[in-house]
Amino acid sequence: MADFLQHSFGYMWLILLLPLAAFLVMLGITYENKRTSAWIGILAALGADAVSIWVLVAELAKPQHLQYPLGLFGDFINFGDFHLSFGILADPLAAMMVVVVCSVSALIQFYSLEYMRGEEGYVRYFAFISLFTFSMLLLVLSPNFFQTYVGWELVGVCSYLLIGHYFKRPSAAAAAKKAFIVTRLGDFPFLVGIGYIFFRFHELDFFALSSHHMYTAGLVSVGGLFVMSLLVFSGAVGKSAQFPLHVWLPDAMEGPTPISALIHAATMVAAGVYLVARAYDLFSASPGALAVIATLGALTSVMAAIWAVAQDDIKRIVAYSTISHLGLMMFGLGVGAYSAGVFHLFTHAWFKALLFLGAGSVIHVMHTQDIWEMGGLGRRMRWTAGTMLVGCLAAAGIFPFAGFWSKDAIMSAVFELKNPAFIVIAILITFFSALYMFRLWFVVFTGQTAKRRAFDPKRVHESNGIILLPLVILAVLATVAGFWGAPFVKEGFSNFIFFGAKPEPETANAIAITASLGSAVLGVVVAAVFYWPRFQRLSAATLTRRYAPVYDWAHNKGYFDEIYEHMFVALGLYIGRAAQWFDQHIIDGFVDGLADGYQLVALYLRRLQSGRVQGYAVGLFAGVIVIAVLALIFGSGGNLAAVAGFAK
Amino acid sequence: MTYIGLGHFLVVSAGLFAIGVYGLLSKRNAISLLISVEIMFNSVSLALAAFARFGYNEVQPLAGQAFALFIIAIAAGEVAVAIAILLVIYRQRATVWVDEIDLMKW
Repeated sequence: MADFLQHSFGYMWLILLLPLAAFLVMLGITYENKRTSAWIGILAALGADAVSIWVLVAELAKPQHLQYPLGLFGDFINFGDFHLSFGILADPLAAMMVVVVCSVSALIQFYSLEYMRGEEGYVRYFAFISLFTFSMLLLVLSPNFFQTYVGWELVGVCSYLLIGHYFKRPSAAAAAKKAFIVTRLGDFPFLVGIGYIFFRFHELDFFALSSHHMYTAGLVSVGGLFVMSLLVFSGAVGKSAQFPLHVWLPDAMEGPTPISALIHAATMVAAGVYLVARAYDLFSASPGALAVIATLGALTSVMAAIWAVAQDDIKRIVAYSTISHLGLMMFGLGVGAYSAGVFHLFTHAWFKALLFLGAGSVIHVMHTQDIWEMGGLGRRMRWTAGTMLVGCLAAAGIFPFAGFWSKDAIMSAVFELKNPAFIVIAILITFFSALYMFRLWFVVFTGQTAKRRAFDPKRVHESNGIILLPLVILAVLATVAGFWGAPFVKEGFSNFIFFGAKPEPETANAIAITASLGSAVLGVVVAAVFYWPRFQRLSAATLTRRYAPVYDWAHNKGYFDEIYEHMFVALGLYIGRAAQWFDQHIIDGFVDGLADGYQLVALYLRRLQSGRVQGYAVGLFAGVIVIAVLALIFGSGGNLAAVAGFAK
Repeated sequence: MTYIGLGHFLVVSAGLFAIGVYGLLSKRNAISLLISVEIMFNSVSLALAAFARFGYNEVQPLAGQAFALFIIAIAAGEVAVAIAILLVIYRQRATVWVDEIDLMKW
């Protein structure tokens, strides 16, 4: 048995190869056949998933850290005593993440069979999902910073391509561009950070860096480590949509909904968190950097949670919820709760994919994303409503759904810090996430049908099985996934993925559980009081009118888009215009002036070429005479008298 | 006692060269120009042969004569080409006066 599990590592290259092969086959061979292409993608993801589950079970049986070079092309970079090769890394963290990526990818491709039916670019869509899956796996399985960066940029490109799937729609094209450029702002410092690490340690290998304790060996000063950590963290800020680079993620909802579920909820945006977890040796060596991570994460999380309450677009609510949860993961990692942060990444992937796919199911039927145009769908879409309820419960952190356990783990760590500001923020996050999730659920699934738009409620029907199957699977996972990390489980998540020494068995922190569960329940109750017709006691409309500035601030996402528009985009435009002026007047003026001057000189010089042979001959002999005279003068060493023959 | 030395040859060569230059610069007829150029060639050949004869090149004593022979061969070819061109020009423009042939100016 143990042997059988050990063999799994030998097949890990299949995890990378299958999605890549699927992408190439789809674009190269089956691009005309929609169904075949889609199934190739699904089967490739399922195959990769099977191998990754095999690997995960092997890691569970015996946690180990293994590395395999992808030896096909030898070293990728080879100079001096420095060798950089692409490879595959197998450790508990990677094994867990690979299973998440492959499973969600497979489920979402299956879901897309129906969701994307009849859409333009069907094969392109599936091909890019396969390419994305490959890139994400390359990132996750990367044994060194450099390969991580390659995967990092590849997933960025795939995100760009898939957000812009409906690129004929200007808003989608703009959103794709925004996502790419904003994440770029984080990627560049990340690259600089990788360079910094390399020039200090001459090593980019995660395992070598951590096992030799390079960060703490005194090779870099405290300030240097702080800068290094922040540079690497910038990449995570961009990719995981943390403040101040969070603005791209809500706009990324222009992409098809399954893409939002795969890339902008479960996997790619979690890459930032994964990076922080992967390079945690670096961050843990700099307490200052950890404090920055915790603060930024908490700030992002609470702001996004408040904004989510004031959104009208079903996907944007879930998108802000994603930002909030990513912030919570960063928060957890920042306060030193390594296992808890990563565990939240794990549980979040399931329930957030579920929420997006549920929202997609609603959108697929209703052809609108405005929650106020929905309502009362619970009676007609029982499966969607039920699975969404599970997702909302999990996201809100209600016992015993997945979100509860991971959120509770983070809460316990925050409460242990005894920092009142952090505790307040953590409670606010929990409260608001319950509030916006159940606001969404009550508005969409309860009450009267069709609040604003006139349409026939009888035409609203449940989505078909292809859409519902992934929903049900994810709902089951969102329910049970949390138990892996429950405090009463002996060999749970925190004994599998941890940082440093194996942790003590966790004791349930009663205060933290009470606070987190209490604030979550309070959030649900508040949502019910405002939005559940059966319990409605207060009108949300009155409240938003009374506190209009607060509502407007939240509804307009803190005006960050406008601030950036006026500060950075305008600045960029000014710089662009100045550069254009410089180019057109100075550079072009120089080049044009050179050409004009040349022409002017040539106008006179060309008269030398008279076409008269004898004129040339005169010039020739004149030149010969001049050269002869010069030769006589200098050849004589300045003694002209000797030349003329007057001296001896 | 007077004997013919290198100086005599060089004087004759220089005289021939000067005559050639004069002809090249003063004549208008292209045929005359060709003849002038031939005179200059011959003056140079003479000078080279003389240098060789009086042993001014110890490493390759016959280089001067070899050059002279080359010049004779090349001059023959050059004249053939030049006269062919002149014939064509004459057919086209009915003149061989070089100051009227200025087609190749700017």
